[in-house]
Amino acid sequence: MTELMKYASLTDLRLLAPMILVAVVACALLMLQVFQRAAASRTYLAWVAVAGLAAAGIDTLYLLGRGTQSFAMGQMLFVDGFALMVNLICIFGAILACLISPAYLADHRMARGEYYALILFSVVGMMVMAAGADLFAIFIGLEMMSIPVYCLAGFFRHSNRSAEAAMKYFFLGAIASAIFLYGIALLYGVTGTTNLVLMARALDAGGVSQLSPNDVAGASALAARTGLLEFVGVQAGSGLPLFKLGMLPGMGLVMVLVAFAFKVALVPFHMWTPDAYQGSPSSAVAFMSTAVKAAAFAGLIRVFFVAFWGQPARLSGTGWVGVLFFLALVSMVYGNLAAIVQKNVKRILAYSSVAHGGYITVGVVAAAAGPTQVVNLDGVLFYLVVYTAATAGAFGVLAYFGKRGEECQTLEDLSGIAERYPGAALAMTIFLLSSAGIPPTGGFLAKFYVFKAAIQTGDQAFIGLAIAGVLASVAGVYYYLKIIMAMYMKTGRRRVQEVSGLPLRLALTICAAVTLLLGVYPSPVLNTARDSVVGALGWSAEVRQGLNAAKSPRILSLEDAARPADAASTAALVKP
Amino acid sequence: MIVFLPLLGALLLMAFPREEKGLLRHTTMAFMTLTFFISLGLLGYDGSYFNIDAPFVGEAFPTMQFVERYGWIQSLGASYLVGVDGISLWLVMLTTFLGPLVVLSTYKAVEHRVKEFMIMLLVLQTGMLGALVALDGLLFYVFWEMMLIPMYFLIGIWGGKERHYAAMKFFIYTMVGSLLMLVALLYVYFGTGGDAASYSFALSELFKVELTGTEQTWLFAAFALAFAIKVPLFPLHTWLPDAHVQAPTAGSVILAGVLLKMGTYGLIRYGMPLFPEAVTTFAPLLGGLAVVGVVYGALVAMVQKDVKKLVAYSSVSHLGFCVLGLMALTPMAVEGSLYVMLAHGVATGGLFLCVGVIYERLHTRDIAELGGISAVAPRFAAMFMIIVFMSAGVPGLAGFVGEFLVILGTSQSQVLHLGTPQLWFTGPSGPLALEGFALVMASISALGMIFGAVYLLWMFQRVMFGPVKGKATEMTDLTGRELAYLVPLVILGVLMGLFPETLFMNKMHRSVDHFLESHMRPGVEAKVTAEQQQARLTGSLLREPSAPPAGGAQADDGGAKPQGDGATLRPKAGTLIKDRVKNIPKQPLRLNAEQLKRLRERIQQRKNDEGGDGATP
Repeated sequence: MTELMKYASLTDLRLLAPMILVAVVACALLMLQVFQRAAASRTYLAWVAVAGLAAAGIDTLYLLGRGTQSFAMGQMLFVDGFALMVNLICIFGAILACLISPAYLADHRMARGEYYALILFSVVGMMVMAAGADLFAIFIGLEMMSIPVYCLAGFFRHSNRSAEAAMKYFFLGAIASAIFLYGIALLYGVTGTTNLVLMARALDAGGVSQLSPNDVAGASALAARTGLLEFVGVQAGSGLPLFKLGMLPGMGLVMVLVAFAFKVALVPFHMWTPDAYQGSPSSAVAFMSTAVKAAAFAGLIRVFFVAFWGQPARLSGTGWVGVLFFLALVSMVYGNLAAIVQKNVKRILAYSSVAHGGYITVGVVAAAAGPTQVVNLDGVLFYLVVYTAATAGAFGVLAYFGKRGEECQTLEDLSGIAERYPGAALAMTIFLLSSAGIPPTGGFLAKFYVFKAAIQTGDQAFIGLAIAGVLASVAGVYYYLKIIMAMYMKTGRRRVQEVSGLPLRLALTICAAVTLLLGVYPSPVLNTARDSVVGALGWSAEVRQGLNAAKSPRILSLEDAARPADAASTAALVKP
Repeated sequence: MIVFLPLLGALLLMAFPREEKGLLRHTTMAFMTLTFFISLGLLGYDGSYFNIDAPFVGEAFPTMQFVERYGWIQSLGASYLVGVDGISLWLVMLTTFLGPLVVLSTYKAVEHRVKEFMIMLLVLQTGMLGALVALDGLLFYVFWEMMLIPMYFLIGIWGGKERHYAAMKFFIYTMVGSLLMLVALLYVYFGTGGDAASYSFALSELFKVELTGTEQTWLFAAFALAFAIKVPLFPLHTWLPDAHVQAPTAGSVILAGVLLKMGTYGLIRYGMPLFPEAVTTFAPLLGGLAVVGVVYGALVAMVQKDVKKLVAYSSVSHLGFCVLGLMALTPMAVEGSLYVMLAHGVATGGLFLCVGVIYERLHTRDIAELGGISAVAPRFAAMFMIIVFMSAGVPGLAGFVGEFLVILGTSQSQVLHLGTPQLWFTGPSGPLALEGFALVMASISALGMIFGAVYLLWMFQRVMFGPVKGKATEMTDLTGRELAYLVPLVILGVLMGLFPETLFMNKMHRSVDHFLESHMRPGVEAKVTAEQQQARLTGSLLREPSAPPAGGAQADDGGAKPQGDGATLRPKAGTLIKDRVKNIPKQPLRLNAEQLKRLRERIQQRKNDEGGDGATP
């Protein structure tokens, strides 16, 4: 580690400026709250948070525009198009959450500055995670992201439900973190490194060649390094197809996978989702259902597309593509079916978010199904953008209404709101139609891209997956329409009141506009996503190939191989 | 321009205050009328236009006019590509024509949430027009789905008692089909171009994709399912009566007038030309279902107690004619089918409006509660009568022409029978299974026409004549506003009945010819040739070797009948058939380059011939 750290330098500060900025604003928010009279309005804190996030977003956009591709903090972080794009999505989600919150929190008498600081700290964690080039960086990012979100889930400390949500979320999250850490330990044990690129190299050299006795020589250096070759090799020859990779790395892989599956709430690791969403403040759910999911997917893609890109880990029998394939299928089907029977809108949206996780995973596995498919990750990024807008918007609408300090949660509460609040109902309709994947909303094109990627593989199993997803989304249409029906076609009994302010209206307007715009004219976002994916993956592939090109099985230090692909565009940013 | 004008209107309406109902109605009316008048410009469509090198659409649609193209999602190869040909022209006109009439009909019927209602109508109008003119697969799909949402709201908010159920059923049914269609569309899409850069959703590119027989079968099944649900074809029709009965009058009119046509239009524009081979395989099945639909719809309509439900089932019956005509794949039948679509739009739209008039006044649609209305409302009776006659297919009115053409064209069809005759009840390779089968279908569907007259006239008799009874005593005659939306329909219906060729069909001919010639011919040829060979084999084995090929079907309508009847006596072929089927050589699925060239030459030649004919006298 120390040898890596010496590459940390001032240019890193430039690359990490958005992260640092968000962290500083978060600290400032904590301070501002201290020096303020208790009675004063705290809405301005939200604006400060939004301003900080927006500034970070603009800077990210600037870095993205320059085609930045570089390591930062030694080889701990990749600052590349992919990371920056995901950062933007997270910042977008966080801005929306900050805008949704003030009126809602005030209504619940919980307007406190920590709230925004927590969101911002979590965003820093997300940014680290999306950029992680090292399992430790990703782990630190994961924890930095998760812990504030646990706090947000339990932010209504007087509410039992909120406490329950936080507790469930925290316990299961902690277990997932532990599993993740254990997976890292196993992988480190086999490969001798936590760096993703080095790990890929080691697994390619060790994992693959061990499968055939002839290639054992190629991995001898690894064996010398780890002393585990014999164990690994023996296990690889026998055993389950999943562990063709070798018992230990196979276990490590599965553990890491499970941790991510927990974070993105794929069935069967979704158990916490409905309870956590139902109990947590709506404004916090708007954040944790969107940005957290985006960042977790980014982390998953990072780890699996870099470290476990080798054939046996990826495609053999039930390699991680196979496992994710299964998780995607189950999530889509179960998420949609389970949502049908729910009466609570938050729970419906929770299950729908599980289903959305499934759809996104379809995009991920489809992109991993073949070497030329990787560019299809742009569909995943596009999906995340659309999903963020629609889901944050939907929870925003829930935060829009209240009944005397209580939350407005059930279908009955929403009944008949269209007549009294046509704007909010229209916005909700747009979000729900987008979630259901009906044109001309962004959700349609997002689903379209994901399924397109699946069909493009030409593999019958993937076409079957697409058809299953499509049919599952018909079930999805049913419960989304149920909400719309409640709003427009039923008459409400219980009176709900509007609890909103300028920020919330602004947030809903932004979400609705983005959702519609992306459905009609998606090209700008799509092209950015595509460029960022192509750039980033091309680069990491080059880094990997650079390593593979060196015939020696000796584990190289990164400096031998890692060069930015586009020297011209990054010359200003990377230390010569 | 026409497409987005209503949408513009909808956006404008959003800014209006909700209380100003009159203003909202008038503005909607203005936008609808404006759309109609602008669309009149499309009547400049030149029926003899044929340009194989036309920009954007080229040889796939040489008859396409008013073509526009703008970039949309470049990275996908999807563009905003629209155009009108003889097939879509009249449907577009019908849509824009019905638009203002529908709005007019809601002036009194809709008092509740007028603003939303008008916005929905306008958005729906945009969706329908867009779907009709789109020449890009993805664009079509987007518009196709865009029609769903407003219709869902129209039924769900302003509908009858069971509106929630009906709206949900309508939406889910349509969604299942259309999503599978999307998957199929994507599959075809990946056949275009070699690499990611050259993929395209343009229809002209999609047509070029070469697909194997199995692929075609599955893909066509997906498309056909989507369109069959929309039409709706017999076993999938159950959403229609619910939706129609529950929908408000305006919704029913649009649903019957235009939305259902989307199914048949989708077949003719997408489903069939994309998979010509599969069409000929499925033709007997779909045609058979259509015939069943014709008769079943008519029979069920006969026993309905609710006038609106009766009209809804009559839709099932009439749309059966449309599908049957399409599946027959003869020029006459296809044109007839298109004409039925138009006539049905006018007639059934009119019927729903009339039912709406009754319901508005008397708040009942129950036939038993009505009677003798003609005595109290003579003007209404006159209008209603003409429209009923139109729908029943009385010669001289719109309904007759199309249905007659379909029946006539179907009886000449070469494909409307089973390629593997030994599977069907007609017995192994009996001629009934070949061209005779088409004749049977035609006859049965003609039966449907008779039933149509029965249920409509019977209903008319019970509702309008006899002693004035029940609630009918409270009936009043039509107001000026109601006349204003019924009279145009009646005039159009009469015009369509009297001058089908000179006014309407002359603009269809070329497009339909091209559709059959260029898009469907390979499939038909493959099937006919295969059957000819099979028949020759059968003939040589079972009868004297010189037996005329059974699938030739050069015989005209008159000749086919005795031939068919006589030949039913042909002996059974026995077990050898299976082996013979295997021996049929595989036909090319699509036009290859040479065939295309030949086609072009043929077309060119025909054009020259025509030009020459015109010049010589």
